[in-house]
Amino acid sequence: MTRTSSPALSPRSFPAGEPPPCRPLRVAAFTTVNALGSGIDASLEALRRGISGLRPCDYADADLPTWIGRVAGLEDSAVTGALSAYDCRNNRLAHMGFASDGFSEAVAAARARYGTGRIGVFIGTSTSGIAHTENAYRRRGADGRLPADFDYRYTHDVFSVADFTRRSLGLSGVTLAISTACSSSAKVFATAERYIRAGLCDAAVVGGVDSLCLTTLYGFRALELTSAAPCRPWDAGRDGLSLGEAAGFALLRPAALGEAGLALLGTGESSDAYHMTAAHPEGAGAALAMRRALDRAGLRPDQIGYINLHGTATPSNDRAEDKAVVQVFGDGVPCSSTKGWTGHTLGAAGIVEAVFCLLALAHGFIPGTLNTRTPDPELTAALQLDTCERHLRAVVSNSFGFGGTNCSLVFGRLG
Amino acid sequence: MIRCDIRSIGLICPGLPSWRDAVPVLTGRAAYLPGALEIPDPKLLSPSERRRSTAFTKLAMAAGEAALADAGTDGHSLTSVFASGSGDMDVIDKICTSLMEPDRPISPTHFHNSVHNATAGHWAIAARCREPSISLSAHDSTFAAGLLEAGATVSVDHVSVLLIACDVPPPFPLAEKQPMLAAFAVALLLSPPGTWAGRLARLRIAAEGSAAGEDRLSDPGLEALRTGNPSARSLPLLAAIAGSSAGEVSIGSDPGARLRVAVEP
Repeated sequence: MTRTSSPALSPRSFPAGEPPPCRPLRVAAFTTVNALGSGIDASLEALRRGISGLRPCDYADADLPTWIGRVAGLEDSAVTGALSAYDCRNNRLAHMGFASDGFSEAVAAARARYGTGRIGVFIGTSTSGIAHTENAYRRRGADGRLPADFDYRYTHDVFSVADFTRRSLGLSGVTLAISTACSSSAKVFATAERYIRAGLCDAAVVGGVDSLCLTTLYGFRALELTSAAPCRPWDAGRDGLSLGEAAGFALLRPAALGEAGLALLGTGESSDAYHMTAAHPEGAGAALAMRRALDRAGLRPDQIGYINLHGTATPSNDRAEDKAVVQVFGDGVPCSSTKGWTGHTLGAAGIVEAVFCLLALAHGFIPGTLNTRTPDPELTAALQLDTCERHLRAVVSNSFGFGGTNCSLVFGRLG
Repeated sequence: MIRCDIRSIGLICPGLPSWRDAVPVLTGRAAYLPGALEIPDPKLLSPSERRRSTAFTKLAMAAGEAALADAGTDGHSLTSVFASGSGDMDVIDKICTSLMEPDRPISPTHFHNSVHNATAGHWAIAARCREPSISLSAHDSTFAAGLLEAGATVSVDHVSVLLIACDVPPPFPLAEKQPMLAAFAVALLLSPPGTWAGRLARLRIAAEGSAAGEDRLSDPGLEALRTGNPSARSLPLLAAIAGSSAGEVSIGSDPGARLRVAVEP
């Protein structure tokens, strides 16, 4: 059953003045490395068995009463060889990502099919390799200068991880680093879809990489947004987020007519225009992003089987997102936040949760909301507490960030 | 092929306080004299937001405001693209310096201003705009990458887009690692072809520029500015638009954003 021939998934009429419908893009390959381990099997196993990747903060010499989703082994896996100038925690994490799930091999096959110059590269990051600059500041000389061996361009510069990804995968198509805080690696899907539609590339590598650093650990503490316990999204007693780090990548290409498989069906973007760090209290911008994603996918809210919430577990963020979800979907569509497994991976959250949505579609399950036991009675969306088996055809993933940036994605199974 | 019309331009850099002042310089009718940079206070910002935003954000917003004022419109319904090679390095310096102190007391304001999309957030709030906004970077080819994103959005989503590119020299000690000559901000208001009568220029953008390299400027002062700030890599395109004659420019040196832009009045 293809999308267009299915009465259950028939396109709706399209509002004027809005971006045209998405042509479905097949997700030909995908991978993630996060606190649950390297590769999708580690994530799948942990999601199904309810095993969290969070641990008491043991990042560098950070002395904070909080839990983190740290990726094991990054300290001992330097980038070597021709690209050794890019060596830093963030690019090490990216490198682990290319090496997982045969992702590099899948890109090599796409390279042979499309040509190196016709595959776009769109990588999201929030803090890039800032940990490398933090270290360099701590090694400043008596004259205040940064150490001679510190290279800014290939490590901390916002473009570094996109440049490193492109060079590692042997690609030379249009390349961008997108940095919109915690929506960064959701927005890469929207830009890739736009560029393929505009004929600027025939296929795209999208992804996101963000690594732990003192800036975000101490910055979120300064905003009093970190919890001393593992984060509990939607819980009545939720009191803040747990930070994490992750990389994730996906290979997108146009779906052939009648082709079956996992696909990106819609993207929706908006701005809150409300506050730099607080979500709009009624979730107005978030609701707009979800509506646009559904419109572009040609789907009604009741055709969505699962929503992966942004669900950071701060009191106000969850409240605003709950209002937005209920406005658009009512209180009947199962939803959950997977931050209890990975922590909030900031600029990588979009791609990690996109991958979780693809796993849910492929394996027929809905992840629960780990650590949450007493859902907040004031929140009325249909929160899924425990992981359960469920046949899914189309799902939504939400990503929202500082500066009031919102992005929602619709993924589904074609055929 | 990406097609769009440029409705208006806002430009602020040392010696060129506005697009109007820049036109005779960019067309060779007046000499370029780099002077002190004056950042006008953006009118859109409320007094409290003005205190909380940085010089970087004020410069970018002032360029955006100038473009909107010239077009006689507001930013309420505009999709936006914010392009910056390095973002607000002053904030990065303050945070990294705070992290060297006991107990690492990061200022919450510095922290929220440290995200690459901080200016986009301030802009959306000030312009009361709920439309999509993207913040991006492509090192020295950041302006070209921003123009491509903005042009692609105009072309395939049929909306007007405000592109703002801004880079400001980092303070010591980062300045030694990421040298920049001077601050530069430019804003271009782009619309689908033929949707607005008083266009400055029509662009046809192809993402297949030659490896032969970017166009240069003959004036040594302007050429130094061009190579000394990622956002100032826009200057050859701005000069072509200022010249009001048909021509083609190459901008963007990175293979991921190497553009050939045909300009017609």
